[in-house]
Amino acid sequence: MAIPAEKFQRAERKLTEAEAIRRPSLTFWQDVWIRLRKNWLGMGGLVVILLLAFMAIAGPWMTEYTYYQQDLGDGRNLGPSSEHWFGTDDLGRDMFVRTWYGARVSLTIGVVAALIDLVIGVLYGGISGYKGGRTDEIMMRIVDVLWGLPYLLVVILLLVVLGPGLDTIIIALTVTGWLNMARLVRGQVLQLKNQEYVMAARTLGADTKRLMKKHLIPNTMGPILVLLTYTVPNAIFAEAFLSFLGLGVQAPVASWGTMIDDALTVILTDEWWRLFFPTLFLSLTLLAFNAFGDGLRDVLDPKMRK
Amino acid sequence: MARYIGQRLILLLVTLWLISTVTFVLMHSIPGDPFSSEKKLPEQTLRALEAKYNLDKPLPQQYVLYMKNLATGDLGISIKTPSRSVNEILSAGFPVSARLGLQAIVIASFAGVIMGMIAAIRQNRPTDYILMVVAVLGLSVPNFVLGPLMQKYLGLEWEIFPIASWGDGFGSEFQYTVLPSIALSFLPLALVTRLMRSSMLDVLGQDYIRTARAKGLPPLKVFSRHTLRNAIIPVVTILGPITINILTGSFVIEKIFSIPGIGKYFVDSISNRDYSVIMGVTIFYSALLVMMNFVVDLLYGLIDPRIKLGAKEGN
Amino acid sequence: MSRHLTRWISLLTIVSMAFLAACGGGSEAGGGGMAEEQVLNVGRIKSEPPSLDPLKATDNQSGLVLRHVMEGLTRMGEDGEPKPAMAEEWEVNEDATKVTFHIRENAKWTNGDPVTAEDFEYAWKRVLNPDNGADYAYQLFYLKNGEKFYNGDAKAEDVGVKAVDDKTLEVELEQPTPYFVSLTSFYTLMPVNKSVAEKNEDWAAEAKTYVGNGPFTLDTWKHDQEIVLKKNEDYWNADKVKLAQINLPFIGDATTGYQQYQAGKVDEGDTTIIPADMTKKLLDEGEAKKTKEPAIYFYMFNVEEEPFTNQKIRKAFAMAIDRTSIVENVTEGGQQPASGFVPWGIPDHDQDKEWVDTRDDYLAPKAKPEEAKKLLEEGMKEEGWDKLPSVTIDYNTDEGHKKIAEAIQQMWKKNLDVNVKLQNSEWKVYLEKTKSGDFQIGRLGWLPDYLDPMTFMDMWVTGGGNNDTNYSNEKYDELIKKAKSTADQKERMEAMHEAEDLLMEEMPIAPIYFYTKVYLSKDYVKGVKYLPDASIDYTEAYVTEK
Repeated sequence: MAIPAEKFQRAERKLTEAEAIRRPSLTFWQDVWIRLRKNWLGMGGLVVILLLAFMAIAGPWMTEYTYYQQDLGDGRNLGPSSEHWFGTDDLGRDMFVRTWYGARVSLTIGVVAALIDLVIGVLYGGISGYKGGRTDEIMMRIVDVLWGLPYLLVVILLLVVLGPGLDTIIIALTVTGWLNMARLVRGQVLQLKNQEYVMAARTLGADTKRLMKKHLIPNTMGPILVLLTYTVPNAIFAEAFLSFLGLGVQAPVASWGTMIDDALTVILTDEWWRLFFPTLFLSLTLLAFNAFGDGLRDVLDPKMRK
Repeated sequence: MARYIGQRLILLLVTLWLISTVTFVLMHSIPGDPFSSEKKLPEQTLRALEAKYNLDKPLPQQYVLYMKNLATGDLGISIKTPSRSVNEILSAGFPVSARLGLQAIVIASFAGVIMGMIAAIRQNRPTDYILMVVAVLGLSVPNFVLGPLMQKYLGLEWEIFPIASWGDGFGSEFQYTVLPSIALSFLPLALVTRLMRSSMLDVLGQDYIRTARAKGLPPLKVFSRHTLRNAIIPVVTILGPITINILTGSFVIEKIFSIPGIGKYFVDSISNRDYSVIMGVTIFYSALLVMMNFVVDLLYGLIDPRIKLGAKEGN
Repeated sequence: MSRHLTRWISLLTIVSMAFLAACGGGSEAGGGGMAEEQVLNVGRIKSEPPSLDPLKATDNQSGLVLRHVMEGLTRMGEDGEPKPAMAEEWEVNEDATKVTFHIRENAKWTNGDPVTAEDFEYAWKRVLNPDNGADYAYQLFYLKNGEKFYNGDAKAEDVGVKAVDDKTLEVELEQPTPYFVSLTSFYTLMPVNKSVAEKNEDWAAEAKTYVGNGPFTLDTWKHDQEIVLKKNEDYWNADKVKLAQINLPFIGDATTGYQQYQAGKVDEGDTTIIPADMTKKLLDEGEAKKTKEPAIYFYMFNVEEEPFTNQKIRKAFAMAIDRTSIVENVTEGGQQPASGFVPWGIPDHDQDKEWVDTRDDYLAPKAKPEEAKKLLEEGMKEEGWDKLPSVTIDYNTDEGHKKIAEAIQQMWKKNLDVNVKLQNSEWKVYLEKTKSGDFQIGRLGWLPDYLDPMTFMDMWVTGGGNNDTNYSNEKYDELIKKAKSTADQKERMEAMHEAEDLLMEEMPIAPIYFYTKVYLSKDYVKGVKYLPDASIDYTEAYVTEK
């Protein structure tokens, strides 16, 4: 059967429409989010981190006690009960409140220090490794000098000059905190910059910034994330060490680090809860960050997109 | 290459000089001095003591004096323990710390690399998760908790190892070193495991591994020639400085296990404002550190021949 | 506690102070017979003793070793009295300005040389020689021209110590010092073998070059690790020495120390092997014992910093501290709530009693909130303040100090409704702060130089080197001066009682507690002497069969 030509309608060819992407366009982070949602390990980590953060904010309000209120006498060293969920410490203070109050300090310090280390370390190490030659030589010798200085001296001086406070703690933590990151990134970039795909990109005219952003840094993400999850507990324990110098948060506020420090002798006595709870939540935090880091690594890894 | 090494050695000396100079300035600018105590010494005694240790001279003069002695290898006398020279303290304590450290590093690097590889090969399977939990415990249970716990169970209750102390000095019975070495190795072990896993995963996904496999190269060869070589760079980078940290002793571990190493001097010298010891341990540590970083850079070239150090900027 | 270096010099008689004695202290009673192996493992040394040269030693740990490898003219007995040691006997002239010591014939150095009077003369002048930079040179300023020689105003020959012959030592004193003889047991005054020290300046640095004259020899000194002492067969009183060997391992961590004690590797020891948190438990169970330590823990107010410029406010803060609760719930080492400034264990030389028993209790053991609150309000009215200036407690970093500060912070909040802040610093930074007056409230522990109230009381005179409170009171200065200028004990003690009355009314300091010395000792350890100055003597100790 013949169909009359007039029955046909000419389809308009619009150039713009042909180029259009039917799927809604995604930014990089949307893309990460979508894929992360499918990664149960990463999601699990994220959920735990959010829960811990929530408890750090809300935990201290959940009981009638305050972190400083003491009960000298029979209220000391009580085991966990319905009264005191995590027991009490050697001055009769409620461990539940103190644990979550400590979480505020420790989580803030851990995360902020890690982020600062990340930014400085990646930039510094990236530039050093990428530039190579004399620049690399000099930049790395500066790292050596900072590494060689006695940290305690630096911190005591900082304390004398800046006075105690949360900002001083963070400065003290980051003075040397980024060195490991810088050396790691530099080592990776040294290795990667000679790989074929980087050369190819360079031949195609990619500039330094693009090379770094699209090729070198993303391919170093794995080790960076690992080192970052190591920075968090490091910072938390370093804070306890700094409070030894009078730099940390002032008593009666306690961080996880100082709580663990103070509870050490319970290994010989029976008051296990004083050591157990801070260590438990610290471990949980790290576990969550590690799981999240692993998930993120899988998601960010360019090779996994195939 | 020879030229690069030569240049690097000169830079190394400059780095050391910078570190010692800055340390000298730092330690004289913090509050307190070697002789401050709650019972104040009479004024004339303080003056006599300062004269004895040249602390009465202006700082620049003290600095020149120190540098002159340093050039001859003389690190001076400890102010806190006046019967011992800094050279003696270092030569007596370092072998002890180094032995422990070496054992710890061997444990950490071998076990860490192997555990990391296993985790990578078994990615997202139970083995991987278990190893992650172990590593996290290594990071979150500090060695000042781990040490006493091991003492209590392995030492006191089950009597497998001595609780503490150090036999008969260097070359002492191996048993005394077991617990402190393990305690010391925990943190680097955790880090190496995690790093190794991560970089293994990176490498396993690379095209050249697939190519090598496709060519029919035996798995062991693929592994040793390609996978391990490429994956180990971050581990080597991080292990370098960690090794030096561990070889020069740990304040905490030495205190807990009563070990006559040099780790405690890094903290005690500063608490006591024992100037000559501060300078001595800092220079000693830094010398080892910059040497180690040098070695690590050389290793890069060996592991991955494409890495060329000292080449012109931007290749 | 502070890493305080004490120097112990005893004064006159003290009633024996060991309380809660039970076993361990000197009694011959107890289980099995003498053990075959007379070896004692002691846990009292935390870290390398800085020096075993009497010239350079300045701390308790060096002192412990020195008391056993060296011996002065006298040794302190359990009653606090000087007993004959290197000196067989001595004569003191009437006005106590001249002492003649007779050194025993059979006194020998470990290298076989006889101990001579010249060794003492040499050793003392060595300490006083300013070129040698001895920290404790002032311990010999009692000697005639001692201080002048030290300051370069007199010659060595003018110093009041002279070897008349090999065995006779003549000592001339700057002013009447009836207690000089008891000072000779202190380690700064121990002898040095002249020929050895002249040949080798570092003779005291290693065990193999060390030459002593005490009941034990320095057999081994593994630096940073341990010291081993062996019985000195040539010691004049060697028959009394039963131990063949004393091991002194250095134990840096009390938790480790306690496990070593439990494992039987350590037989006896002090806080080196007792973790602070376990003290109470061990005392309650009777495993640990305690003796008085004549020392005081107190808070000082900087009287030049508001609000402590006001006497009533200082008093209010002092009264609002519940001292009983602190010793029972915080420090937990059987300490005594401080009732005044001079601690227990210090004798009142006039009445042959302890000082604390011859004075009023200035402070109640419990807090008095109403009175304190009233005083605070009065004080604020006097100064015209509606609001109290902000207050900070400074302390040096230490878990014990922190706990006390936290508890006191709460007591002041509860009893005075005042919020104070806490600030800790590293030890030497803290010292710098308090010595330069850059604080409001600070902590301090004070141990005596010698067993007399003066070692505490002269601390608060105007401009005193250790008076960090800036307290200044003419009347007080006068009373101390009066007590110092007389040798009459009645007059001295009365002046000092009056001075303490004044001090506790003015309250530039708030006493908190008197110290105890807690120790662990296995049942088989016998004959250890716990001396009134809280030091220890193993000369006649022994072990029975386990």
